[in-house]
Amino acid sequence: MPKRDRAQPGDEPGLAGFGRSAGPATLILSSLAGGPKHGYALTKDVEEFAGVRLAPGTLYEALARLESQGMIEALEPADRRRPYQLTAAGAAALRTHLNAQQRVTEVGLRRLGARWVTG
Amino acid sequence: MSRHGAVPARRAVRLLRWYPASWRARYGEEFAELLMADIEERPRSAARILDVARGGLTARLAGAGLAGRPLAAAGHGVTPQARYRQVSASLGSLAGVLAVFLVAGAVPCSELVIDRQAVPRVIPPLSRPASGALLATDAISAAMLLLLALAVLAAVPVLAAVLATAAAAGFGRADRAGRAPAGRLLRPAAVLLAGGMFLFIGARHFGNGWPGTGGHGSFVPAGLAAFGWALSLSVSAYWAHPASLLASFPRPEVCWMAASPVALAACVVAAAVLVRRAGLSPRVLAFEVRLAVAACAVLPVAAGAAACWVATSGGRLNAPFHAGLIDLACTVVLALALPVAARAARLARRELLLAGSRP
Repeated sequence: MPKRDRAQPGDEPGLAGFGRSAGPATLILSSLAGGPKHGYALTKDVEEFAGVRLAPGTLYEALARLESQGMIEALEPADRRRPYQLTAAGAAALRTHLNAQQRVTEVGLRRLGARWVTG
Repeated sequence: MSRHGAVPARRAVRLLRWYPASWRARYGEEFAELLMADIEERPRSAARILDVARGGLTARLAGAGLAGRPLAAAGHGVTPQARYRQVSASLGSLAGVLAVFLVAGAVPCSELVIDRQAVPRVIPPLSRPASGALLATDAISAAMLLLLALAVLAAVPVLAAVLATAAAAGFGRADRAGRAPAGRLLRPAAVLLAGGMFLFIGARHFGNGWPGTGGHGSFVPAGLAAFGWALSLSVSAYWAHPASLLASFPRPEVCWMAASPVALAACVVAAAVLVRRAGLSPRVLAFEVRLAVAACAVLPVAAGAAACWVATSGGRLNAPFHAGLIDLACTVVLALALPVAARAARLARRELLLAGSRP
């Protein structure tokens, strides 16, 4: 047994703590940034804007974690389907995460443009 | 009324069974709706089955305090009580793993202790395998005794909490969720008591036939060694003998070998449920976590000694200190138990720290 706990992915604040679920969590938060949605509507929206189909188990694993961390909240169910909406904490976490991703994207594209010719 | 057909509904219900009841109570209905819509779009999908199975198993492991982080450190809305429940879940699973470890460890331990009597106390010079086996005997025996002591120490506050809850809550009064707190403890406590008594009486009775009665030369008390041998008879003897030889065993012994693992499994499950439901105080939980960490430090000693013995064992089939297939299987069980126990203890300690208690 280690004498002290090593930092676990879940110990970090925001989406950095999601480990391998960070991808689905980002997609879900990005979708909910456009307004509340239930599971099926989330799947369709993510498929439309990201070209990725979130499998049901993966979607609900991420939803449960996001809800437990207060990044999303459940609304009253309608017709056996429960919509979820983004919270202020979720919006802040998404903004931080996307800003970090944007910096990586910009650096990557700049370096690609400088050294590699397209086609 | 669902908008989906009967076949997708049936298949969704089947898929939902991968998840634990608590998860289904919270997400079951909406998840079933999503599954039905998905099944109608893609009637056959192995990927969906695998994804749901993985998600369900992850949820079950997380519920058992063995995986996942349902209560993250960011912790919006996560109460200390929820974290204490998670600590109890991890400790309950750890109790189960330790019970399996003790039984699997009793097999090589018994065999080594028994074989030790076949080797005279001083044989100058001892052969290398024999001296290695003697060292392994001492290491496993010491580790098993220490684990047993830790298990007894851990059981005392749990039993005290169960009795206190039963006395304070009354057996008939229901809580706000409509469940009688003491009633929820009564069934696992009764199973544990009945199973424990059966195992104790049976192991004491069949321990009289212990082959080491003539003098075993180990520091393990003879009564305890005989008890461990009889308790693990189902593992060490039942499968080891061909049917013809097994038929010559006394009928009560064969019945014992068949019934004792069932009783043991019932006891393990009941103990795990009891730890989860006992509503242990943060102070007791901190004490239990300290014991869990200590147990995790001892486990590798027993597993390592058993592995060393199995790896270096040689000689004829019936020679002293010969390790057979059952010893190998038990060593594998011991090795597999190590990471599970370590994970449970680590998660319990982590949740306890996050709840604000110091183990």
